[in-house]
Amino acid sequence: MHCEDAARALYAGETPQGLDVHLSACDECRLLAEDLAQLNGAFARARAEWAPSPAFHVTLPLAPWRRLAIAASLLVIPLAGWAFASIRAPQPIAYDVATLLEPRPATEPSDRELLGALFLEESQ
Amino acid sequence: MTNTIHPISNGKTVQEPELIRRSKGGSREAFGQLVSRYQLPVYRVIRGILGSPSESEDVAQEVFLKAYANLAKFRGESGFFTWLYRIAVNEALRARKRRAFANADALPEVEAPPAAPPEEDAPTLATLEKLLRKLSDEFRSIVVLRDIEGLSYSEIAEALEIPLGTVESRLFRARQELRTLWRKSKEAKNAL
Repeated sequence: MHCEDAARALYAGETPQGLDVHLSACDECRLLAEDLAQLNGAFARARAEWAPSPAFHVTLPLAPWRRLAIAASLLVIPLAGWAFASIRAPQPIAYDVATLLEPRPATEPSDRELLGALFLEESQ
Repeated sequence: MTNTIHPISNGKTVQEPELIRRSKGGSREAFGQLVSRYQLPVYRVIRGILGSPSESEDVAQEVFLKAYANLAKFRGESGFFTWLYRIAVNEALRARKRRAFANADALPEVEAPPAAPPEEDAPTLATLEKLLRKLSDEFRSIVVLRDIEGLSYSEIAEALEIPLGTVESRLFRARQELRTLWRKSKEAKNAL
């Protein structure tokens, strides 16, 4: 086996017949084999150790129909509240007939009118 | 890998094509099962390409959102995971370009890796990340898919949408370059 064949096999991760014999006789190819083995060791460590943090969590967006449902429910809640409040609002159904028949008292005189009356009384 | 059994919350087990079918029908729970199965390898692919742990999580989130939004386009002609890897590689490379554009002047490329212990023979993870960063996007993607994720040549061809022969030749050249970088790194260390 020539160095070129050995290198091709080593880079491809293959172990053809005669490779061991060549490596035992060729320092350059043996060095290549060692370097590649070291890199493979690092790859294996990366495979074992590279992991996302425990807090990592993929958050998926809501489906469009769910988003619509949520928007609709947000709209329904205030509407329902308003409808409920309007049902429960006190209705003035019991009238005091006497109060209604009695002449209504004149509206209270304003300050200006009171002052005017006082002034008239004083002057009289 | 397409016939893997997955447990679901009601105690039954569902095969992956069924999970995909349910996800297409809008089942978030089914898609959640797919996410939990693939979030680790997807994260690793992104991490291998990007280097930054926190940024990799953000991109992984984007990958799954994109997959969820485009699930209808997945026709099952390729494996689900190779389809997912394709999205992951593309999104990671896009994020890398975005970052390079944004940080061209001032900031370093990634957050500083933790202090590495003295290296005896194999490269530490920090060194591996440094070596991977020196590779081109094409080389880094293929090395990550093959050497870290262990995908077959045909799976890589599917994921990267390149011919099988290109996978072989590109991987060969990528490993050659990586080894050269590793050798230089060791020699530089020995010279000190």
